Amino acid sequence: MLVSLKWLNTYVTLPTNLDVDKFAETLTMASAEVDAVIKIGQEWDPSLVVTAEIVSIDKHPNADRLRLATVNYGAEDNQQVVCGAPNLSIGQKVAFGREGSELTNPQTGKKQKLKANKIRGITSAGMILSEAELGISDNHDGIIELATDTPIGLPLQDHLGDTILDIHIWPNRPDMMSMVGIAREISAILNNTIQHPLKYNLEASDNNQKIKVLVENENLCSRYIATIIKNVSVGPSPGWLQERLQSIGQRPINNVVDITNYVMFELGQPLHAFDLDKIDGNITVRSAHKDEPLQTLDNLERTLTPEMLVIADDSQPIALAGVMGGKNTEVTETTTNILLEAARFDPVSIRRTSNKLALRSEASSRFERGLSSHLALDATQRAIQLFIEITGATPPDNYVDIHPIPNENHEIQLARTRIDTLIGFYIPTTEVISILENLGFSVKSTTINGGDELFTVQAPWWRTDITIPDDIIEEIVRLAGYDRLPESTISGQIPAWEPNNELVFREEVRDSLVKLGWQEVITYSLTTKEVLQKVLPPEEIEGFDFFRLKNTLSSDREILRPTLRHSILETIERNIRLGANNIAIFEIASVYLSQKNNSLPEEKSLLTGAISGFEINRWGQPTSKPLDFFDAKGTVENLLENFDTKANYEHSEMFGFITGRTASILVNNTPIGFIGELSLDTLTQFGISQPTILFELELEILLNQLKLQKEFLPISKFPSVQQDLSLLVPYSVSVGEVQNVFENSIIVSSAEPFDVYTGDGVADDCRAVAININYQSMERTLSKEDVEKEQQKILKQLKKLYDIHPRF
Amino acid sequence: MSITTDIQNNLVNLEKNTLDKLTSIDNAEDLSELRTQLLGRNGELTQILRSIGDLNTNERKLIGQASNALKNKLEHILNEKNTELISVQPSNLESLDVSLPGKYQPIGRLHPITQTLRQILDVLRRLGFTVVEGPEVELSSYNFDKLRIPENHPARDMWDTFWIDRKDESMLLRTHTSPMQIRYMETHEPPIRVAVPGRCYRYEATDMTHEWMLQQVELLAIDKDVSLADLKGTLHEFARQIFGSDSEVMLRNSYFPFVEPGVELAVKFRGKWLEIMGAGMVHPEIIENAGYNSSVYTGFAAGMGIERIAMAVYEVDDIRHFYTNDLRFLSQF
Repeated sequence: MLVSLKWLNTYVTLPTNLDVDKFAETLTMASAEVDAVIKIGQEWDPSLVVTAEIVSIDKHPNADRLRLATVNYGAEDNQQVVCGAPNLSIGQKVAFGREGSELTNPQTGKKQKLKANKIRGITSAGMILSEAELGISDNHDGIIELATDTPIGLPLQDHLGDTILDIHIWPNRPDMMSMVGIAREISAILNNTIQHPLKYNLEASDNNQKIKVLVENENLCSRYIATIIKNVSVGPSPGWLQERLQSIGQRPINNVVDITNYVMFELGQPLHAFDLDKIDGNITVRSAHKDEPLQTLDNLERTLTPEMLVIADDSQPIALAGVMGGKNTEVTETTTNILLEAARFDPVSIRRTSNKLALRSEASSRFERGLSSHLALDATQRAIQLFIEITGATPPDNYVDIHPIPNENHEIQLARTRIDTLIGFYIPTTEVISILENLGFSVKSTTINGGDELFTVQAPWWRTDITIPDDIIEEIVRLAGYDRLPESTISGQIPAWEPNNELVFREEVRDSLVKLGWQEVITYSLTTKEVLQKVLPPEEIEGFDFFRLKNTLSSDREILRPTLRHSILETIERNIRLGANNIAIFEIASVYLSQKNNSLPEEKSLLTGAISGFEINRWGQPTSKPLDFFDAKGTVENLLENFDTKANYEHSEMFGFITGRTASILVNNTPIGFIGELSLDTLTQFGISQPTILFELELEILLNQLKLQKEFLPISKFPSVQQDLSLLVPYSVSVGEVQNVFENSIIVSSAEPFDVYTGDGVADDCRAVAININYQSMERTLSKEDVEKEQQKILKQLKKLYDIHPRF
Repeated sequence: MSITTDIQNNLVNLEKNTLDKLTSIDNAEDLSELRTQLLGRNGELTQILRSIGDLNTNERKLIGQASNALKNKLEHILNEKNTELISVQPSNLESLDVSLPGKYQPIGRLHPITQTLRQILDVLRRLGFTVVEGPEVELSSYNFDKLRIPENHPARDMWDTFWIDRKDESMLLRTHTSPMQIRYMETHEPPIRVAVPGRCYRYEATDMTHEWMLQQVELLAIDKDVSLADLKGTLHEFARQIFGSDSEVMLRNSYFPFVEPGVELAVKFRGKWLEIMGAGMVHPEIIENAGYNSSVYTGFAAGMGIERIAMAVYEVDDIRHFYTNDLRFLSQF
């Protein structure tokens, strides 16, 4: 909410020489956040930037679009100015910048000194100014029109200079959505009094007036005050009123509408003025009929639904209650009698209606926060005062008031021990009482049995947000000052520790990959079906029960991703585009999979990594040798080795990957993921034109296969015997299977391949695989015979199982 | 002549020849080759040793001892020669340009958000908080209603929400990590001290300081006599460990429906006040709803955005850098 300090100063006396920034800080600390401080007119030179009147307008002899305006700025001689603004008129009060004024250049936004110069051959003695040139706003469509009663020759600073605070009002504080509300807060902070605006005291309510009011939905309208105000003369508002509205960014319309708006900004109560003579019969506050039409003041035709509350006359709706008035009863220049409405509508109903119609108004934003029903009468009386003063209205005798007894706040019992416990700091009783009284609370302090002090507190009517003792404690502590709070630590014991193995495991996996030179990335959780089609088979896409957004910000974020593959590939593509060539990245994140019972998705923790590009030489430069399956597999093996695990790799087929170069990864015969080289087709779809190998591990499944506790294994005291063997292994048998045969022997501690050879001397259906075998026993030194015997046994087995022979 | 004599002669010759050869060897490669000739898999001495298996027991003992003795002797001589060769460096070794780069080793890094998050969680663990996680896809009852943010209350505007298109219309992407406050309280008894990290989502346009996906850490501490002063002390200690031992903290009035009083915590870092978290005392209604007695148990809650903290610490000027994953950005951390 925008707050003009000049305006505010009429209710609460601000210190002269106020340091505005410090003041804004104080307000932020204790009350509501000041988002911005806008200082208007500080840089306007009082002798050069002044108020003036246009006394004559002539054509520019050399330019059709320019005119020559003669201005009287209170000096003996008038000045002639060349002006291109469309909204010039004789008698208009304007802001005049004389030669030498520091002004804002609307084109550049920079400060610039005004020089007298010739424009199309005519000397311009100064400039008639726009809001942009004065630095008030970006508006450069025309010159500022000052109020018609503005005196001439005054420093513009005195007239328009102001400081505007942009204050963020919390949703629970409808009382602060007004100048008086802000003034109340400030007076409590500054510990001074507040000057309430003048009100016209109406004698009494009388519900038997010419117009009757019927409230059908009492739960949605807890108070309705209607006042007939006769003989208003509609016209422009006086200058002071226009300026105040303009200072907080509101456009003056006419005196009647301006008064209702002004009172809303002053007191916080939305008001509405109907043209009395356009109302047919009586007023009913009721639910709208299904599909009932109403043209609102913004000229839009609205179709209403029964959950919306309307103000209706005998024939039709005339306003959308609490949101916007109807065009059919709008106050116009010909209006002479009005019906003034001040009501208290149900906040939920107002919010529902304005949400449904996407129609937010200053009125609805106040009603939806839950106003006090007290306010309606206050605002009515204030508005009547202004109607009499400004529009020459006949003072009304009485008003209609439905449900005239407003709700009072309940008394709240607040124990001293609660204050001390919750704050952790003792605030003396006298201070507690003075803080609360400054805020308008009534407080009684009593001592109860046992010696505890008890405060009996009643919040003022405008504080609809105060309902429990802790609400009052917040009032006390915020005004006492959070800076006075001591610092302590929780005195109780530290709660029993709970392990979080999944989280710890994820971090260990991250560390392992980073150590191997892989870069972690974090990508967005949302994607589209189109992108997913590149990495998932069509039948899977069709069968997928996606979690799709109801409301999206952009078309590339609509589905919660069930895989990370596309994210990794998109990141690779982007970085290749940005100049990277050799890439190794991974992400650990959740994917979202549907579960039975229409419940929340399973959020499965996945690791997906990929390498892309070519081998790097000693200089860190890519060679022409493409990265392959085994580059990525090495990482997976190393990663698993960190967790003392080895996996088996078995050929598998995956959508988007090259068959024969893709394997599922199994630990203890449980599939934990896969690794594979992406097909050219998939890579092309992502715009990647270099070899890319990707792996994916399901971390929770993997974790379940791991031994959580590392275990010490005794180291054999006996020497090992190394033996190298070359075997002719048919392509139909995997080296892994051969290794397994060796490693099944109790005296073989490892059997690691160290070369694979094909070509001369090896049959076409075979490879020569060199294996280094390590024989070792825990119990004794192995003799040559032991090793020889075991080796013969294994070779026999290999021959029998796979027709594998040693190569000589 | 018996086989044993032959072998013995061979051993003598082998020794003599080796010593002869050794005199002319002046570099490590040649020495290594000689070693292979003698002791390698098909080395001369190796073959002699291998042939021992064909002898009878006595012969085997005799020859075995002799050849093993020679093996040891030769190994010793070879090693000595090697040491000598290494220690006497040839004078003509080329000088290296030491400014040339070392052999390339790839380097990987954790994402800056992961790094920041870890630092934060480490500090919180030291302060006695247990790290737990909650679902990113939530029900509005947890994200809003149970946190005292009812439907059609203007406080809902504080959290612009992505809703999920499901039969259960109350499904959404959590807008904050606060729902886990409720979930945790439902299954635990005080004392409670938990930290909840995780991704959150906001239905809002991105700019230099706003992202639609963000990471938060939530704090919840519930015990007897937990006070606002405890909140201030704990968070100041947190700030000291993250922002430096001289950092100052400031509490400002704020509003969140699930705390009362509600505050904003700002940290003075490099001369500027940064608002880094919303916090407050857990609303007594929430304590009661968890089944705890609110006149016995009080607590504080706080929530912070990791990106904001990372931006401050690393002086990153645009939040959008984080999830663009430009390697030129990521490699700086």
